[in-house]
Amino acid sequence: MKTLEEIIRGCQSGRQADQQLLYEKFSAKMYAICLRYTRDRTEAEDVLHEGFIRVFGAIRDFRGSGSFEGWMRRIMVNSALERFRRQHWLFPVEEIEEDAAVDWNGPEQVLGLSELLNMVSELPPRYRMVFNLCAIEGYPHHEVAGMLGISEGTSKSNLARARAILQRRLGHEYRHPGDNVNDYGRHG
Amino acid sequence: MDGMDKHPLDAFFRESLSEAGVQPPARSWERLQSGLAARRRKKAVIWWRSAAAASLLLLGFGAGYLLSDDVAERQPSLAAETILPLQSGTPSTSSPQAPEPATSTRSATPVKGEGNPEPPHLANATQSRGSARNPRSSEGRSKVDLQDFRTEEGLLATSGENRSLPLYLGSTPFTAFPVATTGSAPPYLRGRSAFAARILDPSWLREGMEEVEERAFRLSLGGDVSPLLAMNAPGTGMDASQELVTNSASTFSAQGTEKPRMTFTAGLEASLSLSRRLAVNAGLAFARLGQETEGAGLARDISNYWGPLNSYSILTGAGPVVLSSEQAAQLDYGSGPLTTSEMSNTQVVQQFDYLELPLMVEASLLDRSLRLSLEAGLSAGILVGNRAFVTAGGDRMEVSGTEGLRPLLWQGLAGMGLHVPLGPAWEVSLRPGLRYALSPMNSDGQFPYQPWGATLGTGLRYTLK
Repeated sequence: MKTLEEIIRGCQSGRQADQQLLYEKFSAKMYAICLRYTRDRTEAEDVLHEGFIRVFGAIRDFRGSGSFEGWMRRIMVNSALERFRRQHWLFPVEEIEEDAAVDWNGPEQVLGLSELLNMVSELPPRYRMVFNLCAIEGYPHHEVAGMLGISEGTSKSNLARARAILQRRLGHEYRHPGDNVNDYGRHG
Repeated sequence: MDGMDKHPLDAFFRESLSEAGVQPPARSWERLQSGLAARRRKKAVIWWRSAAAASLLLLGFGAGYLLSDDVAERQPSLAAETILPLQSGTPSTSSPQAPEPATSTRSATPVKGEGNPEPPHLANATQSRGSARNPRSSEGRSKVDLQDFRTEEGLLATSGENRSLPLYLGSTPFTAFPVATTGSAPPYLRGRSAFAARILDPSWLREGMEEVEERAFRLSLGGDVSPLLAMNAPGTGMDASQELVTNSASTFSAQGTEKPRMTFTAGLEASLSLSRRLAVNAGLAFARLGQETEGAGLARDISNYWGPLNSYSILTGAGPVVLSSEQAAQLDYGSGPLTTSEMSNTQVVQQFDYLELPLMVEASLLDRSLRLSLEAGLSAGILVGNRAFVTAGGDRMEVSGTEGLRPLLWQGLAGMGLHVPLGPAWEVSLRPGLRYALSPMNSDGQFPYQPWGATLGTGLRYTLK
């Protein structure tokens, strides 16, 4: 069983067997990230593909300082961001007026991973980006604003609105499981 | 952190999703494998293409530099040193005969024109330059006797409504105008190919619009350089020069020849794609246009027509170049009266610098691994530089620029482009083009000077994501 360091060195030398090992080791986690940042599986596969192509292209520059998984993760997030910017730089995402989320004390029933991923991916594009970057990755608003080309205030309000939608969806899922209502359709 | 992540909903999603894993479909790995293989192949291709692009750019810059006549003139070996033998005697101002051709009788012993005493100020100016500068002057050549021109006064003067110039240097329809490259390539968009036969079909031009909208309008930035040779417009410069030569033929002839002249142009441009087929290109280019005349002669201005009273002028298709008496005296034609032969040894180079603002529409005809396009549009050129150089007897001297130029020059442009992608963002282009001046560059209505020419631009372009 090869260690991660050995696999990385193999990839740095361009060995295809090691590339496959690396893919097998990390593809599930990276795919889950891609699913969160995209609207559907097809798009997530595209981002995963672009991300791995970049990983293998840039792996020679990975010097082993810091977490390799964190490095890959950043590449995937950047691929998703780039795709988002490409799609939305001239046609900004519409603002949707939503009430800000208020108190919330956890889901009222246990939800599966796929339901939660769907909820995030079905958010309107920019809310989805802001929610992922701020709430899940933990980036501060001023950095998220820079990444998305929006103001810090917009980032904050987008996050609040994303929370409101998710909160409603969580309640909705609880009350009406199987109902496929979402807020995404108008932005398709 | 802004404290926002402390929200319980954020924490819930983070805990649930940040370390989650979902197995991607098996086809993802297969796709990745083929993508990596394609990338390896592409890398090799890109290397070769980059090498080809670099060579092409070097060729473009190199050609622009080396072929530039400005550069050639700075090479001493290329300077006009071919002074012809002198003719004795004075050109007859009363003779109806045409002047002697340049190949006419040689005189072994230079004889100063006795009937044309040299004006003291000119004599001093010329003699003071000494023979060291031009050894030939001590070997049988003396200074040009500008007094010769006095005999032409009645003819040089413009009279009444007939303001046609008595002396004209151009006898061919060719004049040199390097042309600025304009236009640019739309962004590199992959897609199906289309062919020229369909270009007039509006639906074809709209094709791919949805695709572009999805990708958003794309902006490209680039630049190119172009060596260029261009010629005077048939029917304008040619007719004017013939008329002028005819008018002067019976009195004084300087059978000047306007020659093509090569200089360089360079520009930056931005391109916005409107559809997969159509793009609008705008830019800013520097164009050094030029005119070159072999066989120039001086006409003294006794009517304050081209320059100050009694200054000397060299009359060209683009306009007169005015010299002061002192400058005229410094032109070392050799000894004796100025002859046709000597005049044909004088070269005038006019240099016009324009800042050009081209606006082009471009249609892609073929878009595969190479892209082929057609482009056409307009360019507004603002005159920012106007210089003139006179070479006689091996001496080059800068004189005042050309008189009577308009500050603005409108030109129509058309061309085609061959674009080679160097990856998703970069592309290198080779763009042959033609241009024609829609407005005369000079303000003298009698001799509208509208040059045309061809460019061969070499450019590099980057498409913004």
